[in-house]
Amino acid sequence: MKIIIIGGGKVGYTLAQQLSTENHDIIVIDNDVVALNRADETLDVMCIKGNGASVEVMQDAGIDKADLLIAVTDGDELNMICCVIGKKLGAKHTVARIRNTDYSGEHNMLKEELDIDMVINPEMDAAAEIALLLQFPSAANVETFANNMLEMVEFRVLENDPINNIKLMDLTKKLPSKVLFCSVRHNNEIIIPKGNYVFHVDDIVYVIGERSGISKFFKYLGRSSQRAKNITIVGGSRICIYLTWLLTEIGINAKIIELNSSRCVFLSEILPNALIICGDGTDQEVLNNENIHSTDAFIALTDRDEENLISSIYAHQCRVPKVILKINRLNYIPIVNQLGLDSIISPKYTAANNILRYVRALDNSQGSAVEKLYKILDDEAEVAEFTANSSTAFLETKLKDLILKENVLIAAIVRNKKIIIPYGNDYIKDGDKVIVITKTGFLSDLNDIFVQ
Amino acid sequence: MNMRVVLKLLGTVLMWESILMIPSLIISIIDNSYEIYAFIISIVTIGVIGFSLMKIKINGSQMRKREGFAGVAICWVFMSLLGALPFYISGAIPTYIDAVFETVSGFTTTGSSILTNVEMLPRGILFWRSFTHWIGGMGVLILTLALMPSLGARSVFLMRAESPGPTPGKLVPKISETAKILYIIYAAMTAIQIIFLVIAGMTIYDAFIHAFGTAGTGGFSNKALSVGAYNNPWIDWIIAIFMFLFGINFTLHYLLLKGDWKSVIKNEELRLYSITVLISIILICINILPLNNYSITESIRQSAFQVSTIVTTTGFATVDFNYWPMFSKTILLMLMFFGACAGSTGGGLKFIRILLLFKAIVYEIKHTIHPNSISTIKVDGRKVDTSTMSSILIFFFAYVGTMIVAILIVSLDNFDFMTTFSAVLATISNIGPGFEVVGPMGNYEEFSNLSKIVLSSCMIIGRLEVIPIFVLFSPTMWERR
Repeated sequence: MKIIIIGGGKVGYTLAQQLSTENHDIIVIDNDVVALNRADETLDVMCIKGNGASVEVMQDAGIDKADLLIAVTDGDELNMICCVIGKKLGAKHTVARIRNTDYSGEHNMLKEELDIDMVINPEMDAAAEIALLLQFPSAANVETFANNMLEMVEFRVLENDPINNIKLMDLTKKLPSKVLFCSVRHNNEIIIPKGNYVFHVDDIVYVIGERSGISKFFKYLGRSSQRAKNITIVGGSRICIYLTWLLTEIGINAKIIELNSSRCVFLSEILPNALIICGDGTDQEVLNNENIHSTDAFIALTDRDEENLISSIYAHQCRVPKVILKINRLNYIPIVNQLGLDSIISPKYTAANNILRYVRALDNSQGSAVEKLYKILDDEAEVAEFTANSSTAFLETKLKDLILKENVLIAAIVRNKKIIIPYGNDYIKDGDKVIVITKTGFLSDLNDIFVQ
Repeated sequence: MNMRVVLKLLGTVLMWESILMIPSLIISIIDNSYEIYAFIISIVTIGVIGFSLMKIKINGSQMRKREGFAGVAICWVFMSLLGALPFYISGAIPTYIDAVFETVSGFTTTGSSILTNVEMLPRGILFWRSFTHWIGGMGVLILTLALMPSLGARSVFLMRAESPGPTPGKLVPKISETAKILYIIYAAMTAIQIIFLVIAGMTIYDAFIHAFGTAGTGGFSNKALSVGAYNNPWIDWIIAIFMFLFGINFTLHYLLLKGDWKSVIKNEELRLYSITVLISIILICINILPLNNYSITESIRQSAFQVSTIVTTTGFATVDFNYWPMFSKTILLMLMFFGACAGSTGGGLKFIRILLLFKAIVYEIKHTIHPNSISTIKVDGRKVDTSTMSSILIFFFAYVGTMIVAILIVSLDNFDFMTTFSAVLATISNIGPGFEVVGPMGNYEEFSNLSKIVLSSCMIIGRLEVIPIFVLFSPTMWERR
């Protein structure tokens, strides 16, 4: 596909990087020479200097033949204008980043009236991700598939866990609910586990299943699957506002610590249900006064990575059950993980990821039989959704009679809007949606997953 | 510098070099001539070295700017040293230094020769000699990029180091696609020229040889009298026009194919190039009229061919311009400096740099008169960055500086000034013939070995536009990491 990206900042760069390795033709437009040079020297993309909303620049980039226009400049309004003009000049699809809270209720209207195909709001998406995490406090990360019916959670194996040092095939018999172990990160290596895999301490395990099944599984692990009730947020950023809105809806009480007093006044104005504290969230005194020891979850959302890190480490020490922090610089995530902090949110990365999913879905729906494609585990594995039809070779055959290829796993079958976590006696029927996890490689057809 | 990355790159390039020798081998097999074994030995040797270097594991290290630039320079040096093997092994050129000189001259599309009698050499050897022009013209690394897209995004540095001009750009977002488009245009134009030459009466083999010489703007011929041997006005005109076309920036050829006439016509470099060529042809034509008994057709044919061959840095010849009046010779000397357009297969300073240097002078004058005035230097309506401007000035100085040092060394051979000066200018600008001893009908055989090495270096420095070679001389370059 030919994709034009307007704005070469963090999101634009991440997108260009990913999409250019996926064999798309990428053109990056930006006004900033430094940003363009960086993209030009490190990525296989074409760079054009200029204002992305200008017709001349867009035509220079060949907008009339573009399959997709992604506007991710700093200005919401500029992004909207870019998309509107781009569409008029012939771009087939448009994506705009719009993140001002003032427009947050108007996304659908913007989509319809301005004919923007996808509106992305990184802060809102990050808030949604945090809210999801708060519902599974024992999971480090949560991803949803198949229209949110299926969830994949990440957790770290601890010393006392009942699954520690147990073979997978022995474990499946003991489990209270149907969940599937879809992959394990053991010593930084991604493994799609087979029946003889033995779990070790500090393995990062990814489990897929329905929400209720996963809750039961966590109970079995002996971890509190209790939803958080009272949470503390440090930093009254945009994410904080979106998050508090979401939390108020599901009945979670939020306490917000923000340094800037005028910002505090603003927050109290739009977040009437939250408790706003004016104070320095990195100051232990302030945190102790606000009784950080008894909070159910601690979320650090200031604009500075360092402050988030420091206050999170303190919260972690105070044995707050769930600590979530925002980190902008992705390179530091492995270092932060070593400190025992697993739940990290990076709005720009989330935004780039969401756009990537959209592009991949767009790309795949044009060609092969893959309907949706998600890259997971730092792009080392992928989740693909297929629909079985008459061309599928092994309909109504029990799965245990079929031989799967190496590193392929059928994670779920969706039949009549119901999730089936498949075991050996299950089978695939015509019209089923099949969700497959693979380690690497390129699956283009459902028939590819079995050894013929 | 990470040597593994560079050696792996070198391996890839050498592997392609050995593959590219196969057509010459086939010709020598058809002729059943004595150089068959020379080619087989060379292909196997280069292929084995290339293949084993390609197997080097780079452990995920990426190519940085330094590896890109140094890599290109190292590839060109080794490609030339090994490309000389067929000449040397077959005995066609008995001394190795001469063989290297001839190969460097081929790859850099210079066309300077040390051969005194070309016509007695076998066809396979001559084919390889001319084919090096075609490979070197567009660039062997760009060929590698076109054929092996797996080199990755960072390979943009390879393209920048190998393509001539101050700011080589991409035609399409993907670098491998860009390289493919460039080669397709290049090959198509070569094919068209071959067809024209055959129609005009050349044998197919000769048409190939001369089309390679034209396309790469090299200038090796298989005739002692070069193109003059045919004494056919059609052939003269076809080659003159195609030389001119190959001297144009290939980006413009691409835009033309896309139907974007406007940008092509508006292009300032193309305008300056065309006007300079036109005025030179007219002036020389008038100046040499008395030599041709006042025949305008004859004068214009000679003048157009010679101007075209010099300005594009090709170096074919139809007449010996040593016998021309001083005024015409001076115009040619000036054109030798200019060279062709950026992004073409030609050498020299490139018209875009001349254009920008002139604009810089105008800017400086304006700035002296109105010290507080603010203005920008623009080309094709776009602002030229100060960094680009300063790199052009530095390039100009480095170019002239290299020439001065080279002239000093070559002057040890005690030739006359015109010979010494034009020999260095003709090699660093990748033209081929100079004046007097090294004139169009002369050659470089009489120079000492030292001079031949210096002149060979000049050719590579000129072809890669100085900086890639100079970075090799920086001690910090050779430190690990």
